[in-house]
Amino acid sequence: MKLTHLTSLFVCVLFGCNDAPSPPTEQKKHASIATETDTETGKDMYMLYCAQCHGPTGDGKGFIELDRPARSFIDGGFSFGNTVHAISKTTSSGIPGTPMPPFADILNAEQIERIAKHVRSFAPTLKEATASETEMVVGESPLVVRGMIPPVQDGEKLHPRGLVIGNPDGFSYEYRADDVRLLAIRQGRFISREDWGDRGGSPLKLLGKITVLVQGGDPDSMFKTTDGEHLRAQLKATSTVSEYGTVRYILLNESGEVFATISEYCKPTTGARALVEQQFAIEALRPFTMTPLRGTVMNGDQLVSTGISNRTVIHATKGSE
Amino acid sequence: MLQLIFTTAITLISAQPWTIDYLTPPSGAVLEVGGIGFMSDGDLVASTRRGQVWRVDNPNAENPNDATFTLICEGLHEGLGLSVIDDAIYVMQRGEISRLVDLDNDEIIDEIHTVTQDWGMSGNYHEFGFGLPTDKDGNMYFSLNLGFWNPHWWHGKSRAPFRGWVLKAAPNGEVTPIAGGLRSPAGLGLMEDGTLLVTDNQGDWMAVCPVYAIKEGAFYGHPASLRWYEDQPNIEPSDTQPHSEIKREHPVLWLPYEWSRSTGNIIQDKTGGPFDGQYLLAELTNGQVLRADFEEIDGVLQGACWLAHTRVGSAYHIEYGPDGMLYVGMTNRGWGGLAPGNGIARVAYNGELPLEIKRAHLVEDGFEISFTKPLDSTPSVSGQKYDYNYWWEYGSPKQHVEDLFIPSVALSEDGRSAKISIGNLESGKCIMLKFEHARSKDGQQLLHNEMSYTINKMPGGELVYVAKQVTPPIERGEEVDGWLYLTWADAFDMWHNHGVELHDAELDVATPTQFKTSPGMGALVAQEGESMETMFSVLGGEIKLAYMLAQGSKAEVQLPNGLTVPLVDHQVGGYLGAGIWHDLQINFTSTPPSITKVEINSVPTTVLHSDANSIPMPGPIAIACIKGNSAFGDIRYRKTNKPPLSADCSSLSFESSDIQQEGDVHLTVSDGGDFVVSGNGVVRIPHEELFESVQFDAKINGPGVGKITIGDLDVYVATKGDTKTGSTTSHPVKANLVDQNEWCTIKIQQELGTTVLLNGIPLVVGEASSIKNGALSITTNDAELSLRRIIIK
Repeated sequence: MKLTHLTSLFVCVLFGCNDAPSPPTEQKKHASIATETDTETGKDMYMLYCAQCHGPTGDGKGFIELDRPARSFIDGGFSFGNTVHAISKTTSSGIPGTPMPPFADILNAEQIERIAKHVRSFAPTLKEATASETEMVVGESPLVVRGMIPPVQDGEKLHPRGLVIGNPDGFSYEYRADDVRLLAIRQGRFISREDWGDRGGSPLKLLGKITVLVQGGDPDSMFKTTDGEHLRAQLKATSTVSEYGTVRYILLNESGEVFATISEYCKPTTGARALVEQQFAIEALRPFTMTPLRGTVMNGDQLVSTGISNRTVIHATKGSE
Repeated sequence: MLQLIFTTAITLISAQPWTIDYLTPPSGAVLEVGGIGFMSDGDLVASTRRGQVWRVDNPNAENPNDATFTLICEGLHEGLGLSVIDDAIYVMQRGEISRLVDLDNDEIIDEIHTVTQDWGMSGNYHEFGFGLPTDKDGNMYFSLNLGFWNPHWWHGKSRAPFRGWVLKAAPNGEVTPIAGGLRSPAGLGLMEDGTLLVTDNQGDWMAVCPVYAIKEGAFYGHPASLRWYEDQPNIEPSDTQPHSEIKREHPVLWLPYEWSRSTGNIIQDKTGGPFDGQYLLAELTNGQVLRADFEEIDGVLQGACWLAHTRVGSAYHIEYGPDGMLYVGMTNRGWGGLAPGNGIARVAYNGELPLEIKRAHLVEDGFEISFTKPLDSTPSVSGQKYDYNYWWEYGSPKQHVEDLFIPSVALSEDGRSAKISIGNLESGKCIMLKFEHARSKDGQQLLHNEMSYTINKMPGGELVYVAKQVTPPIERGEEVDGWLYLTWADAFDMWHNHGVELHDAELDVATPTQFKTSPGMGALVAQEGESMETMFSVLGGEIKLAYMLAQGSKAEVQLPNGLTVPLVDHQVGGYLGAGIWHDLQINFTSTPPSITKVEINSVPTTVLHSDANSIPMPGPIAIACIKGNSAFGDIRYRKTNKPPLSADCSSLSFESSDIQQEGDVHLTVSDGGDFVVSGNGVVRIPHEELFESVQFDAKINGPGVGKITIGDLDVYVATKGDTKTGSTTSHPVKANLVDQNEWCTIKIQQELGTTVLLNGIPLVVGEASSIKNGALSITTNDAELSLRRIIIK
């Protein structure tokens, strides 16, 4: 029975479940496995369902060769968050655009949580953040960190004023804060607070892997007046009350006239391709235009008329470009 | 896990008539406190350098175990200032003033609202932002540090708008710059009439730590921020030349260096206690709280200060609670200060009125002094007057020190006041008065028997600067200072080490006979019997170092002339106490064997000499821990006597037109034969002379490496990488002996082997590579290398 299931899973991993939002029917046939593994430990089930790709020790070196390497849990890198809850969610629904399949139909929630606990135990950094440690870990709620942002890549600038939003799903969003602009989107571990050492004043260390580099890490402003004058974004607030950390800002022209208040958050999509949606809730006092950046797509018209509206700008992650 | 609730434990140090105790934060939490405020329910709120905000419930509990800490916000960019306005918490961050919003009334912060970001940041580490006192209209005041840049790392520069200024943020976020000329204005406070007080920290253009009463548009002395005044050109001013065309304001107080080396904030005492209406100042390095009082003399504000509470811990931010207790927020990371170096101390008045000097009023011929309670007899009073230099150097020693002529001290009939007649007071001086045999009628000794007063103006006299503009000393880098930084970069590279370890260290408050150490590079920590000695030998010279002793400890600096300088934990010269870092300077000679100068914190100190060597022999310098625990840092040495050049020396001669360049290298050659080579490449200097020794001055700028090749020998000049200044290929130097942009003298002698001397110290002896064929080339890799005064023999 187990052997049959494993065979079907290999087929899924190797041949295209990454394109399918719903699990292959072959897996549904084996839903009964869940009851048979009720008493198994998280480790047993990990060895059964996960180790062939992620390796028995969680180092990402399983015996199946994938076109994209499986995640090493030892390094603490988790695509959609590193809490038991977040790992359970990832295990349950899989990661679209990758060989990671969903397990919701073959394992029940309790079993998935047991596996998630075992997976989490691999990573030495996965413990509650204490103040004496410089690494900040996103828990069940988003975490916003203000600090100096190092150059996103060689040749780019250091941003003395920056903010990084870490969401529980394992994505983090790196902004320059003096003219609020998204620079990059990362996956994996969050940040190390390097400025807690020595006298302070050093840049943050961003630990995640860049999956989206917005316009080479030096994006233009997206906002202009209808006459083509650039609008400046001025930070008003950050919020951690919802599932996704939110940044709020106003748009001003050179005379200081306010054109709009915008609340913005980002979230990964669950489509066939790995995408990140940057969502804007706009309260416009004056009409203005919104232009997508190189490499992005925007839904809706470029002209934002007065009143309340929403826009989404879609970023393709590097792996799926 | 944002919310952590833990109980606290008590550590008690008994002090009369004030009691000092400490709230203990939750296990694992480090509260590097930058700001303190109070909610209407009495809860204390503290912001920290780690970007956290903690709420402390029941902070004034009789037993501090009953207080609880809750982490209500994290992820801020330093919190060196906090204000509570109508129960809304505002935090001064490095780049933003924010209002913290709790949407669901669970005390945990859900939103961070930006009040303003309207000032500049260059990204330099030293651009701290301080705050955040608030006036009755809700305006918040904050100050912006200068960045620190070379030529010396502490040179203050204003490379983004309003660095070096104090500013005002209105409740709607509108920012108004108020005044500039500040350096590291780490503390702010408000007087009763709304006058803004700002403290600054000793350094370039700041003789010692001043307190300023800020006037709008005025200039307070550090020229770096002049560029942001409307009527001044937006240029970076000279590092060394003062700007005499713009009027410099006088501080209302210069704090004596021995009392304050890193001043924090200033608050008014409104407790109704014995010093109601006066002011308290936080002092970080010496870990204490000072008291100050001001008066107007012919319209000029100036005043006096005293020690108030000593050995508290690294006091950075102080506030009175609604209960009248003084709360002391502590931090010293990277700045150095008395332990505890973080957390919150409480100073509680037990109601036992101490005998203290209450007030000092300057009159034409002396001071009228009042006391907190009647004296039983006339005290004896002595004192000195002195002033300072206003210059670009780091701080100023006391200048023109003179004893005061005190013909009489007259105690009033009720014993509550005394007239100190002084014959030689003058404007533009600081005064230190010392009272002895002062006892109250109820038998108490004077708790603090010294008083400092800043005389900007005598009654009816002229207004005169205490810090006087002097001819600037030679620009750093233009002469060879000769200092070798023996513990920079690789701290042990220049030393034979016998057990000394590199850690961060501070006094263990619970067991003050020892240090509490943590990973870091802040101190060379030695226990009894451990020592280190230089790998090179010298005869005489100068030594500078910092040292700190645990309680009852003893250390020694052992000199090659056989003499030792004992460092002991008891009052001698400028020694302040266990757990405090002290600056030590020693000058010594071998012929005759003697110690010509010992200064602790710039105070000359007499030491008992041990037996000297009868025959002068070169030898190492050693530091040793004799008893208990000691810590050392930033050890420097320089040779003082430079041998004259012999008659058969000459300058290297060559034809500029014969010089060859390879690679992306830029070369300038002065008429005097000085070279400046920058970029990536090689410059070859053909010449026809053969020599057995060559000497030159060298200076490096930039992150890369400079290399001088003479014959087969490569000598390196660099402050980064594995071949730092003084290295040869086979003898790398890992200590950063010479700073960027600082001239050093390199001498290479060809005898049996090759010897390389840096500032007169033989670093490499017996090197196999020869300089004999004389071919000379200069290579730079991502650096600018300057060479001058090339002398051959």
